[in-house]
Amino acid sequence: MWGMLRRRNRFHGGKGRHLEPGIRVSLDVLAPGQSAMVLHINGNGPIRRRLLDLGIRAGEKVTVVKTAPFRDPLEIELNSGHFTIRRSEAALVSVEVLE
Amino acid sequence: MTKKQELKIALAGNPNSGKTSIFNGLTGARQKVANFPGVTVEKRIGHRLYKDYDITFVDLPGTYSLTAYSQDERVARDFIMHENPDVIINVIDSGNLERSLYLTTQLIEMGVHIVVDLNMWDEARESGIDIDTGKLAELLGAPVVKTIGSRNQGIDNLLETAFSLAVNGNDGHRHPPVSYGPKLDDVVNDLSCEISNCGNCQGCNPRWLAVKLIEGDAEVRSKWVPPGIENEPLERIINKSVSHLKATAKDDPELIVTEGRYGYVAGITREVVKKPPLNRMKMSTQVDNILTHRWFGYPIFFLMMYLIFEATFTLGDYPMSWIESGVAWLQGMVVATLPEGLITNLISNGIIGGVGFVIVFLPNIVILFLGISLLEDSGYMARAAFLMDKLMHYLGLHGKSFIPMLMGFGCAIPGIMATRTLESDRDRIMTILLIPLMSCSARLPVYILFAGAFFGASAGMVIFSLYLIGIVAAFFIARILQKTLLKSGDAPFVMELPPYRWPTTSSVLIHMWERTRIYLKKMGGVILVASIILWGLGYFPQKKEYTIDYEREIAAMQDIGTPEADERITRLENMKAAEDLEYSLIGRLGGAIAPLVKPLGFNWQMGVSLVPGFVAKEIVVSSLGVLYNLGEDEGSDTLKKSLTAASSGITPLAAYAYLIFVLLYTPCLSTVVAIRKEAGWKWMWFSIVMQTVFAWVGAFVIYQGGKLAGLE
Repeated sequence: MWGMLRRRNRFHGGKGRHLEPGIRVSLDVLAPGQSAMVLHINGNGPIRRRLLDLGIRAGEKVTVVKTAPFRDPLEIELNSGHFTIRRSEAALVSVEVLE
Repeated sequence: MTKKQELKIALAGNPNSGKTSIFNGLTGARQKVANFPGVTVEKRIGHRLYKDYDITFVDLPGTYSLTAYSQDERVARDFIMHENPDVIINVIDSGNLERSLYLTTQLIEMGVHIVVDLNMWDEARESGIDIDTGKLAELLGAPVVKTIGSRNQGIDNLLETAFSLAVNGNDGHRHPPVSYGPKLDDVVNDLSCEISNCGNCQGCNPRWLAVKLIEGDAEVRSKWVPPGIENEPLERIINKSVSHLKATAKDDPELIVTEGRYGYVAGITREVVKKPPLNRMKMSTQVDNILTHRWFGYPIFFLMMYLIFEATFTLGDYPMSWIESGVAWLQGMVVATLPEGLITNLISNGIIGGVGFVIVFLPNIVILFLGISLLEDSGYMARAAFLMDKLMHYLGLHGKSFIPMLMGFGCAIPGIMATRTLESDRDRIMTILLIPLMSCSARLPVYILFAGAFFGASAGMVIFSLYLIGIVAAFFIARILQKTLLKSGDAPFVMELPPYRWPTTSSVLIHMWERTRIYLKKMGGVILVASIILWGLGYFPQKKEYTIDYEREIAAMQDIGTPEADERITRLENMKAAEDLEYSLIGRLGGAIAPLVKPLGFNWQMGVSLVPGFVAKEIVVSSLGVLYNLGEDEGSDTLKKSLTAASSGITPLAAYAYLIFVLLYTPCLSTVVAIRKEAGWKWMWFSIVMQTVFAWVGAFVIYQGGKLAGLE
């Protein structure tokens, strides 16, 4: 139980800070409301496959809509669809911050 | 035509594409649910007579792709490959053309006849999208039909199109091959030529096989190109193609193929979409601003869970008590009309009682699945998973596991049946194993009896502690299983949050009816048989010689006929019943386990009562009543007095240990049957043994620990 709470601050100081456009980060770092362009999906196996099959792929614009109340998972918008993705999965997606 | 000709048509499409409503529209209520061979993925089959043909429709699991990574996709793929459907209807959410076509291209590549069904056409139009269907048909080389599944519009046209495609073939049209861009196309073409020459491609399309081999699909490779001398030349060519690709594109082939496919799909989409949709998620996003809000999200979620729970178990209580009294009335009728004896007892207690056990859960199941299909069809289920995933992930589970587990507090059986909403087998088994630890409503009478008798004013706290201990035990077991037998797989969580939609009455009703039928058909029979066997264990062997000649005593009392004498008769009958129970196989089993439960502080009556408690927890109380010569109908106050009397030898500590045991051991026969049905024999036995061991250890620790701490 406590591990859950402790892990809370691991991602860049808690609230997800607003990032400057052009920076390359992983998707889980984005603050709600920020958009980015997908550069690459790291890792392999079923998770990468599922991300690709849902259309999360290089060149797509992705927006973090919100996070669940305990900050995980995330809700993202992509190609006019909404998806929920765990932070650990979003960490596999490298993006370039757009706005 | 004298004999009906048969056609097989399968439905494929993404999750949330409205595939089920199309399936319902095509088949009506003429459908049944089975499992695909060897897996617990559901296979819905329906029939329709059309123009002298008997058409079988099969609803494949909703998938985004056809890889070997997920069970649903493997099942859909295997079905298409091995069962050779005449036509596949590819149901597409028109508002989401691009992602849907990604699956379409994979179907085309497998070399099957497809009809593209642009479903939810109304919704797409409202969002402003306009699709050139003629162009789409031309580019895909497949007929395109528009439907509105929720309003049953366009179904006839879809049926006729699929039918004529199945009967007449593609009229010389062929699907243009999926193009991956010039570089990859060359490699794919070369390899598919080689494959055709080598003759490795029985029952599949060489181009499809080539693409899968380049992608590195291990399942496909071991199936069509198994290692061996005869395949060595082909293997060399495959390896060469793959390494060539890796070298030129500097990326792994799976990614390149996916990119290529998306490029092709994006090209088609650009050509056929005349007007792009405005934000089709606009309404849903607004709804989600409230429903998955940081602060309001949980209260609303728990309110909804509360409503479903209350409806299932409080509202369900009324029909349940009608069923119970109906069963009791029938039993009374049988006993009154038939002569006393073995057959009468078998009919009234074994058969009617057993049927009663089966149908008494029906109201729960019907109402719960009404709630679940509303949640699923409206799109809220995905949001529930979004809200609960953090907590459930900690247990190594998926957010969707929460609802089945919550239902476990009412009754484990509908909870276990509700695990069907989970995609991964591992999550399903884990959830099924944890559900019985959620303290169900049938255990409450035992808690109330013992807590009331031994703990007086703090009874409420004691009962609350039991619920809590059940949850803690589930956490504990989940953590152990996660590290041992059910290691967290790398099954992805990422999933679509579909737009909110109004559920349609027909699909909700059909879903409810399916569950009810599965319950009655698949579980009812087993529960009935098991109830009869357990009745036999309680009835045999018949005791011939009693300590008192009850019949003479009773007859003597009947002659007197005063109220005191009547009381004495009841008392005698109860004493006889207790002697019978003690003498029966169940009683002997209870006697045999007495040494086992002695370290837990239980007296023999408590030990014996646990055995029939395996059938259902409600029976624990009535068995104790019988064992204390009080009869089943005796008010619980009398029973409380007997339990707390010094002569019973039960201390409050032993009573608490007993409650822990009742909480933790296998809840009931019906649950066991449900586990076998949903998870198989192996997990059924695992669950029984695990829970019994856990219950014993728990009670032992409480009793002996409490004694050491001086609580006795």
